[in-house]
Amino acid sequence: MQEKCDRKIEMLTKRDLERKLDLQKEQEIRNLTNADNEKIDYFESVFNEKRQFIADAIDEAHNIDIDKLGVHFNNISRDILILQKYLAASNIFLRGYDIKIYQQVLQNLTNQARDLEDKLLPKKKFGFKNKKSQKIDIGNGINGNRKKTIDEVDSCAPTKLDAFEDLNAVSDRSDTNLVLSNSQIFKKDILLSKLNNCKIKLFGSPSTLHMNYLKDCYIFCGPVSTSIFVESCENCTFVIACQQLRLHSSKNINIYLHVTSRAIMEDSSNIFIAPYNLEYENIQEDFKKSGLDGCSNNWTAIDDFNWLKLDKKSPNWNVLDEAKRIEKWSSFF
Amino acid sequence: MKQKEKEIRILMLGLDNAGKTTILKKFNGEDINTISPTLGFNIKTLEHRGFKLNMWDVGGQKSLRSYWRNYFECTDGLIWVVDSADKRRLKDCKAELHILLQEERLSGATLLVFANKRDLPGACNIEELRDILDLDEIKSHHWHIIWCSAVTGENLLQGIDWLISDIATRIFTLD
Ligand SMILES: Nc1nc2c(ncn2[C@@H]2O[C@H](COP(=O)(O)OP(=O)(O)OP(=O)(O)O)[C@@H](O)[C@H]2O)c(=O)[nH]1
Ligand SMILES: [Mg+2]
Repeated sequence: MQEKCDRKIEMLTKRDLERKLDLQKEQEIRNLTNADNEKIDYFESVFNEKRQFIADAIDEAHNIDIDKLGVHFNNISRDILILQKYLAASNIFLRGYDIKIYQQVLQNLTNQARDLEDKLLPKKKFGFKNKKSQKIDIGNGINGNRKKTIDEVDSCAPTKLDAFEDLNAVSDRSDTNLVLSNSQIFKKDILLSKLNNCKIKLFGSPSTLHMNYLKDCYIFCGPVSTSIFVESCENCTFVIACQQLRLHSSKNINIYLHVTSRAIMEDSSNIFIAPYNLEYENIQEDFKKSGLDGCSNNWTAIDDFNWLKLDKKSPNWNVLDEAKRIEKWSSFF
Repeated sequence: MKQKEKEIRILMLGLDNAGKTTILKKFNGEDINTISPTLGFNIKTLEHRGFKLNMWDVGGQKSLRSYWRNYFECTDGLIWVVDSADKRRLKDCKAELHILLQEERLSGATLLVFANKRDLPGACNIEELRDILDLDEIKSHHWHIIWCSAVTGENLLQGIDWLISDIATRIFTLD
């Protein structure tokens, strides 16, 4: 009896909800003015033109040399991103229903591109991060003079289906120089951990960067589209760009920073900040792909969790003296 | 239905960087490019589908998680946001979620899991997350998992709509 009653109430409430939704929809349609209609027409024609362009590019991938495919797919994914932004910017005058349809179109393009890329381009993998090759490294190191090693990336190693083999990490290394290019890190969640006296150059745009337990390291990184995490690092220099910086339990760090929102720090001290000044080929291109605004840098907008006085700046961080700043990093490359 | 009863209180939690604030702002049609890590919390009141949604977005940094409990009272819906591209922290994510679900004060709440950042190529899919987060073990709450992207806005509406209709059918009875 009770159950029957519950079900009835459930049905009633549902029906009530549906009725309201219908009303809302009607209201929305009625509220459209002519100006809105013009904007919608214009949007539709631009959107469709751009969509066709991307769809053609996806088809075109079948006829492209394998060594140029990486770039081709990067361009496609950039174009999809741009179109997504265009849609987002037009949210105001589009109807909820249309937005859903357009988003479905974008989702389909993304899926098509992703599937085709998986098919045509075998997955790359970093060949230096697993524990095994690490051991070999150390073995070599005992005999040879390995003050500096330049690692190479093994690009055609087979991929394992195991989703949790960590392909995107560099860890447990000393005295190592390493350069990773955009094709290895683009849109990936990258981890650097337990590194000693290393110089790592990430010349591209990862989606997120985690740095844990680094000592005496120099880390250079192109624009990270979301956050950079720093935890338990000491005596390091970071030249980094991101939307958000999250710094924890670290000390004696110089950061050449580009941050488009703000940085936060916690349990950290002796942090010195300067504006980002990294240069490498294609860095502008990487900024574009990352979606990060290269013109808006809030490098002195830092909130210290351990210092909640608003009227006085935290003593745990300071602006790095101009005289002490390194202007060109080329000697490090 | 009494007017007051059409208010719904929603609590958004999840690890830091999961995208909670971005989801909230995107859903509300605000700019998402200037969002910084949340030091305390944000509250937004939105009108949606004839309901008044009080959305609480609380910072997820490790040192802030012990404060989450201050926000449990009277929660109708819990949105657990997961960064589905951050595979290394999914274990942490699972542990925090299951601790939360034992909270008595959340026992009546409907749970929506947003598998966020689906636009990133390395993102886990729904089946993997269901498995890794042990969602099928959850018997104490109505729950649902849906992928989304706060950046593109995809599926945000679908997720929130599921949450609201589950809450509505559960609590707005005519007693
Ligand atoms: N690619 C991508 N990035 C996202 C998405 N959602 C959020 N982000 C990014 O992830 C970062 C963290 O987002 P926030 O919304 O600040 O995360 P949060 O969960 O509120 O973090 P706390 O406030 O520290 O708890 C930002 O740089 C966002 O732009 C998404 O769907 N896709
Ligand atoms: Mg936040």
